[in-house]
Amino acid sequence: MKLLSVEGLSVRAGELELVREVSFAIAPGERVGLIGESGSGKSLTALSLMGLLPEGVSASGTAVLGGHRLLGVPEKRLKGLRGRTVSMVFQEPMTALNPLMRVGAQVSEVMTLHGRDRAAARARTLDLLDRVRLPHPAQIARAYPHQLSGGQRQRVMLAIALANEPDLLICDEPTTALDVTVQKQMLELIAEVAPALLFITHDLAVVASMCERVLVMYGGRVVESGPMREVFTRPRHRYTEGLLDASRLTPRGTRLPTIKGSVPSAGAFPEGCVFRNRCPHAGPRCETEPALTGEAHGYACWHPGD
Amino acid sequence: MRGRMNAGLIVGGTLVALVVIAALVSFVWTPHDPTLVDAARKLREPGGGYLLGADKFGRDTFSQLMVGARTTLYVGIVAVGIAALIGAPLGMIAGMTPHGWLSELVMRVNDLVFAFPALLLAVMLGAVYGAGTLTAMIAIGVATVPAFARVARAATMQVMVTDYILAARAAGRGRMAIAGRHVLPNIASMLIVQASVSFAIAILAEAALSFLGFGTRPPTPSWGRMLQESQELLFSTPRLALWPGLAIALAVLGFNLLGDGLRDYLDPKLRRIRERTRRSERSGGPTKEGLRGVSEER
Repeated sequence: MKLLSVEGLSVRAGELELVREVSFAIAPGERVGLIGESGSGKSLTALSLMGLLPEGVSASGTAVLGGHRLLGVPEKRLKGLRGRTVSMVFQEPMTALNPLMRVGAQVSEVMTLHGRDRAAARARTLDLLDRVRLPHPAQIARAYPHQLSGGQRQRVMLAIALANEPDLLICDEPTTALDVTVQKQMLELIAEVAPALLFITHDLAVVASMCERVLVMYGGRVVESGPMREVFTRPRHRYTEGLLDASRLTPRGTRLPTIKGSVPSAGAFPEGCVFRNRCPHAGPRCETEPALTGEAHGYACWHPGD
Repeated sequence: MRGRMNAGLIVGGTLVALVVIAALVSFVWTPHDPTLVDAARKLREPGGGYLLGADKFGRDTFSQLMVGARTTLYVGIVAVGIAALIGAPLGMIAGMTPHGWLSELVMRVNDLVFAFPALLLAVMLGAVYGAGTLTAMIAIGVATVPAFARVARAATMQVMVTDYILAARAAGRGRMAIAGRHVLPNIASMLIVQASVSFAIAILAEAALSFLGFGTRPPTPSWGRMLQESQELLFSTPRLALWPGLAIALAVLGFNLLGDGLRDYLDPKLRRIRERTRRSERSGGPTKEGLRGVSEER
C-alpha cells in the first residue's frame, strides 16, 4: 500500500520541459530523499505536488496521495488538502512567517482554517510549540517572528506543518539556511516527528542520516533511485557516482574529484541521456534516452557502474 | 520594529493637529458667529476681540478660518475615504492576479481615470449635478482612486512573492484569507502614507474649486471661497487674502510632511539605510558595517 504514488510527472513552462516523466512512490511512514544539484527540478517536483507552481508553469501526469488526486484538480480541492493531508516546510525561515502576526496566531490559524474551533486550536498550539522543542511555548506564541532566531522560526514552520497531523511532510532544504549546530538538532527533530517524508536537499550527508530511500535527479529526470545504503555504496548511474566521488574526503595534496563541466541551463540539456555531455563514459548509445531500469534499485544509464 | 520620530513627522503632525483642533473647537466655540453679516464692522482692523479683523461683510476672519478648517477636513476625509475604499481593493485584486484579464481591465480603466485632472472632473460633475461640497468631494475622491490603486497594486505584488504568502498557500489558505490577513496588514503602511499625501491634494483641490465657485457654497465658510471674496480687495486689504492663503499652505504642507514622516517612521528598512549612508558620509566612505547592513536588508 502506497501513501503517495507519482506517475509520469512532467512540469513545463511553455515550450521548456523542466521536469520529465518523474515516477516514484512513498509508503506510509517512509522517509525518501530527493537529491540533485540546483536546477535539477527538485523543488519544482515538490511544488507541483502541492499545486503551488508559479504562474505560467504547469504539471501533467498523475499523483495520488491517500486516494486524493493532486494534479489537474481544481484549486478548491487542493486547498482542503494543503496543510491537512500534506504540508511543506520551506528553505528560508526568515521570510516564511508573516512579520505582522504573532507566532501563536499563525500556528493556530492553520488549524481553525481546517475546521478546528478556536479554543482547541489555541491549546494545541502550545503543545505543538513544545513538541518542536521550543522553550517557553507560551512566551514564543506571543512573540512576533522578528523576535525569534532562524532556528526557532524554522521550528515554528515545522509546528505549522505538523498542526493538522498530515500524512506526508515535504521539506524543501529546510536546514540549508541554518547554522550547522542548529541544523543537526533540526534534522533530528524532523526525523522524529515526520509522518512520511519527502526530503529535498543537495547535501548528501543529510540524506544519508535522514532517509531510507533516495531519488537522484538530474536535468529534470530521476536518474537513479533505490535504498539509501545501496545507492550510496554501489551507485549505478555515472552521475550519482560523480556526486559521491565529489563529496568524498580525499587525502591531502590530491586533486578534488569533480564532475566536469556545469549543469546546463533549463532547455540546454542534450538529447538522449541528459548527462551525456558531462559523462566520462558517454558513447554513441547514449544518444538515445535510457529508461529507468532495475527493480528496487533503478537507474537510467546505458553503461552503469559495477 | 517601528522607527524613531523624525522632524517631518513632528512638524507635519503639529500642523495637522492645529487644523484638527481648530475644526473641533469650532463646533462648540468661535469668537464670533462666522456667518453673521454686520455692516458696522465692515473691513474692521484686527484687535479688540477681532483677532484677524473682519471682511467686507463684517464677518470675523478668525471665526471663518476655524469653521473653514471643518470644511477642509470634511472634504479631505470623505474624498480620501472614497479613494481608499475603491482604490485599495482594486489595486489588491490587480496585484494578486498580475496576469489575469481582471487585473488588466482594472489597471486600464485606472489609466483612463488617471488621465482626467481632478479639477476638470469636479467642474464637469459640478456642471451636470450642480456645484456643491458633495459633488466636489466625490469628484476629488474618484480622481484620487488611481493613485491608491497603483500604490496598492505595487505593494501587493511585492508581498505576493514573499515566502510567507507561499507558506500561507501551502497551509491551505484561500485567496480572501490571504488578502485580508496577510496582504492588507503588510501594505497598510504604504496606504496610510498615500492617504496622507492624497489628503493634501484634496485640500488644495477643494480650495481651488471653492475659489472657482464649484465647491462649497455660501454661507458655509471655506478657505478657498474666503480667498476668492478677498480678490477685489487684494491691494487695499491684503490681510483678507493672506490668512486663508496661509491656512491652506500650512495645512497642505502639514499633510505632506506627515506623509513623508510616516513613510520613514513605518519603513524601518529605508530609515536604517539612510542612517547608515549618513554615518558613512560623515566617516568619509562606506563603512563595512553599513554595506553589510544594506545587503542584508535587500
